[in-house]
Amino acid sequence: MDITNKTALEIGQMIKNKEVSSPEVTKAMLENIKSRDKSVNAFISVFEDEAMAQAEKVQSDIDKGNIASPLAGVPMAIKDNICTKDRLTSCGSKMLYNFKPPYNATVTDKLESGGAIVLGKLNMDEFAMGGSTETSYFGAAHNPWDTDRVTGGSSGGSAASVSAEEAIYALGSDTGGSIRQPCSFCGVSGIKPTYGGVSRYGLVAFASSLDQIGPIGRDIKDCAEVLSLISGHDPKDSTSVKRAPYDFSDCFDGNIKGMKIGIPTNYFGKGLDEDVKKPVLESAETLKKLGAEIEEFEMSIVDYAIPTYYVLACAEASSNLSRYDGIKYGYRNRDCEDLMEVYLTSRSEGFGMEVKRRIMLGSFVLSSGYYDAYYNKSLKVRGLIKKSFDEAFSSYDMILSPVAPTVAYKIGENSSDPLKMYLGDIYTVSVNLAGIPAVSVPCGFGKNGMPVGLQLIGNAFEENKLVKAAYAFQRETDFHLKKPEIALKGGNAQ
Amino acid sequence: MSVQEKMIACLAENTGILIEGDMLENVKTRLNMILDLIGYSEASETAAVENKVVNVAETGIDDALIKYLEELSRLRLTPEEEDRAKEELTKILMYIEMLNELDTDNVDAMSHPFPYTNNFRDDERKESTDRELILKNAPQQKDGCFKVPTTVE
Amino acid sequence: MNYQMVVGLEVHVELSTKSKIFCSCTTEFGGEPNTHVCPVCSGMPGVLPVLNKKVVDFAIRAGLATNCEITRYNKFDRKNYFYPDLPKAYQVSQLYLPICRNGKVEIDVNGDKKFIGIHEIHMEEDAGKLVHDPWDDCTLVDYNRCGVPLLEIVSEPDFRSADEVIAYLTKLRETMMYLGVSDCKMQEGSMRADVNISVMPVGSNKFGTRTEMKNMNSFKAIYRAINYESQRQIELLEAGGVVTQETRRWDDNKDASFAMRSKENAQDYRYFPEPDLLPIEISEDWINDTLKNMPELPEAKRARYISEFGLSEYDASVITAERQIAYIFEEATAICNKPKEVCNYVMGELMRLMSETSTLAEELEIDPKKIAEIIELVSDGKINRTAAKEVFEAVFRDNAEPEKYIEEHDLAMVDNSDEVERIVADVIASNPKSIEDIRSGKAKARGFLVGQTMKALKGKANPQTVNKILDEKLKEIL
Repeated sequence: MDITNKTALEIGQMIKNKEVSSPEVTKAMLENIKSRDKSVNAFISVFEDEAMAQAEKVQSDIDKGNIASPLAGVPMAIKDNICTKDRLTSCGSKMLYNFKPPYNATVTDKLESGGAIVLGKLNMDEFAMGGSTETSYFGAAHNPWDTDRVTGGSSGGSAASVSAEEAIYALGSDTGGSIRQPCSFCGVSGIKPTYGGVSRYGLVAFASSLDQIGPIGRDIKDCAEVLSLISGHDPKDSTSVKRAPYDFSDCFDGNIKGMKIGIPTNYFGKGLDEDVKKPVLESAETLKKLGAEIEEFEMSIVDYAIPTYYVLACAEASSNLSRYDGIKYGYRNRDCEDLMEVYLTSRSEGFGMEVKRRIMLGSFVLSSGYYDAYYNKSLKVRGLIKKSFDEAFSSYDMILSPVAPTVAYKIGENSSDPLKMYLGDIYTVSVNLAGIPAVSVPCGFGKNGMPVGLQLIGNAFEENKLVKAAYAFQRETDFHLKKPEIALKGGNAQ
Repeated sequence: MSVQEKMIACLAENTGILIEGDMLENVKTRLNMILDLIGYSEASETAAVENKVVNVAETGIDDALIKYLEELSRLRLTPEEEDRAKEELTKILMYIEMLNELDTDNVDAMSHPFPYTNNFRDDERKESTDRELILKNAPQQKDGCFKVPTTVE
Repeated sequence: MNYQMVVGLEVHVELSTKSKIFCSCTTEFGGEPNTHVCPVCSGMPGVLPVLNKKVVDFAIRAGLATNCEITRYNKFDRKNYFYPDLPKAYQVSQLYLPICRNGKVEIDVNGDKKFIGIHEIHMEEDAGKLVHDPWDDCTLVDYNRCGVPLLEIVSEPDFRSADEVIAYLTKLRETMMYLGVSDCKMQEGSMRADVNISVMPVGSNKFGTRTEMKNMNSFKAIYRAINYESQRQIELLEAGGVVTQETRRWDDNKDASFAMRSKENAQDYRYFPEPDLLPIEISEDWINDTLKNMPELPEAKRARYISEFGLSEYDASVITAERQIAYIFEEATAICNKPKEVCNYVMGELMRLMSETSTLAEELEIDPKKIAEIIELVSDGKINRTAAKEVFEAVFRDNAEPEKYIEEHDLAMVDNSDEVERIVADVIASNPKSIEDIRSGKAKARGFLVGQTMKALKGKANPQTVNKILDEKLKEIL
């Protein structure tokens, strides 16, 4: 029996039923990492011994009846911008190549109290800036479906680890599509929660008003379970909303009759690959068949989302990344005679080019004389975008769209043109600007066999509607069950 | 409304004469001559802010600006990186210019995604973190402090 | 040409909250370097700030006391700049919507009253401390002060003399201490001022170019610096020069200001709204509650001391200058109901001892009950004023118990007429010359005998008793 290709909830149940033990699953996953990650490069660090010890401990807690979580004992992995106490948290950057935080992120604490087994930390674009996981200091991650192609990003390691069955589920973070887009590229499911739904404490900040942590899993049900585990108000995060954790228990009846789904026609115009357009529109048909009411509408303001996003995200990033100065932690060039040299050399050598570009763009839009024309203007456009979503949700339960304009492209293909790369975020960034939730689930394959994702966007704190629809869709389809070859050939049967 | 249009409207209102056709063209030409004479340009009326923006959008990011951004960001690029950054940032800024198509005069700046306010904690004291843990990631430390090259003038 | 100085102040006061503005570390002064520090105030990756509500309470209080409008919807902004004492490389402050605006404070310089405008008051976090290590030629960074809450009180450029500045600072300090908002300990940097100075021809209303002196923490230095700097600017202008806008450093030892390196001029703080903190909404109720719980301010106290206790204006202003002194005065008065007596002891003995021992008002631990007790003992004739002084000093220095101290040191008045009689008899017996003098009509000699008796009784006897007994004895002999 191969247990490594099961869902988190299935494995959790099997552990409870004593069909398999947490150490056994953990060991099998570690074997998969060993045999597959050379070609995928999803992991930045693997905590082999610690994971085994943790599995033993959690197993004994389960045996004693001390942990009730359905995810107890299930091995998973965490994106490397989420703090793990005393364990490397590098953000995919040379700047933090040796940083071991003396604290856990709130989500890390919640996972541990739910009995999660942390296998390691996952590869990502440097400081989550990128859409391909090519800008990582630890080398590009490779798409399990075709290792010549990118995983997407910035949570590329997270999506690839789940896709290649090196982790049962993973945590990622999403600032402008960084969970949804790699899910689409790697054929797995993911949720970008409502801003404020999950604590950001311990998530190394990229753009504070946009960042959210979310789950990536084999199917939407796993994602929902993980999300309810990590969500809820955190007194350490002022922007975390005072609500109870999510409860998705009534989302899995597959009944979406009468659900109103809007399709913004301008999302399907120029720039969208036929390879993506076709399966996404077919999924709309599937949902319709299941009883949803589908209607087209116009949402032209979203065309302005990318410039707005890059102004705001870079501005916040330029400030958030100023603390990396070679003094308190991380990389420092040691041969500095004066303070200015410490700053200049540590930062110039510690950050990669994409990070530097965004810091400089951010400094520019905030600098004296340009603030109103760029930064403040973008805050206003952000208001317009939010308003436009509010209007849409007064008519629809959710919005259906593509996740990315293309399937995963070849490594190196886009990295020379940052603007082209930024345009790849066209369908995802407006969700972060509006602070609302969205899911990405597999909905088909391109002509070259690469997976395609479907995005469902919901109103603030209406993740349950999205989960319900995505579940109905996955019950009807089998795209999420398809495996890349690497997961088929390298499986470690027990 | 341009300054020229405003002046024509004002003229019409004060004289009661309908200015149109040839007369309009005639008045426009003369007004432009006057405006030229006093060195007026449409752009100089708009705020200095917009002026700069116009410059950046038209001329791109120049050497001085890229150096300034490096200084603000505490980054030092190689000459090749500077050239590349200039070109790329200019391209991105040109693209961002499209935001000016939108009228946002009566829109509030949205600095936070939701309208929540007032998240406080009580004034309670808790144990601080062990100094060892605070300093353990420091590249250089001495006597319980982070150590940097001298900062005194 | 005659010139007029124009001065504006940015005063920083550290708030006396228990914990820091965005984390639960202590705000206590001192401590080993980096021991009042956690991941939040040392700016580690991924940490987030949570606002201490007390800081907002204090800001509202300070704003109401300085006649400000409270900004009902206010926000924090980030001020970005690199310096090792600022671990996040941005200071969380308020630029666009500060919590208080448009206030005013009345000052009094030798009877001339004047309002100084308050432009705004905003909340912000303090930075850490840098110590130069001369042995190693390096700088050591201590984050203990990082995140201590501050109010920055920005005045309008309304000052026209150094005396006005000092009057304002004194008033502000007094007010903040009374409000319980800050201890305003200048020597610990919990009150400090950035001083902006320019000069303009008398009669002009166009301000000159200003210079700034930052982080000044002594009234004396501020006074001298203002006079020096305005004079420097005047001399410069008179010699045909121009004033450069710059930050200058005041050197108290050299009694002169010096230009700092001018790279400061290129500061571009790139302020923007702090996304990690929610905006603050202040309701009518919140303001009313604050008003209700506002401590009585010095001015109101002064007026009350004059009308209720009959103190002179001068005495009332001395007593109310420090919150702790006023507290001691009120408590002692409440017990013994002798305000003038209490006032005399406070202004006499207490203040003398404070200056002898360099004790600051806020460090006073003297129990007002004991002051009242001493006053009662004097008025009941249990001790005389000389003894009272001694007891007071013992209470001040060693927290002595008055009754016990009097007993142990034998300071009580001698009411026992037997003892007085015995002593008087002794004195008469040992001073026959004086008796002769009295007989021959020299009245002065009697006074000598009284003195000798009091001396023998160590001053503890009631003079009336002594006089009475001496008269009786003399009558017997004469």
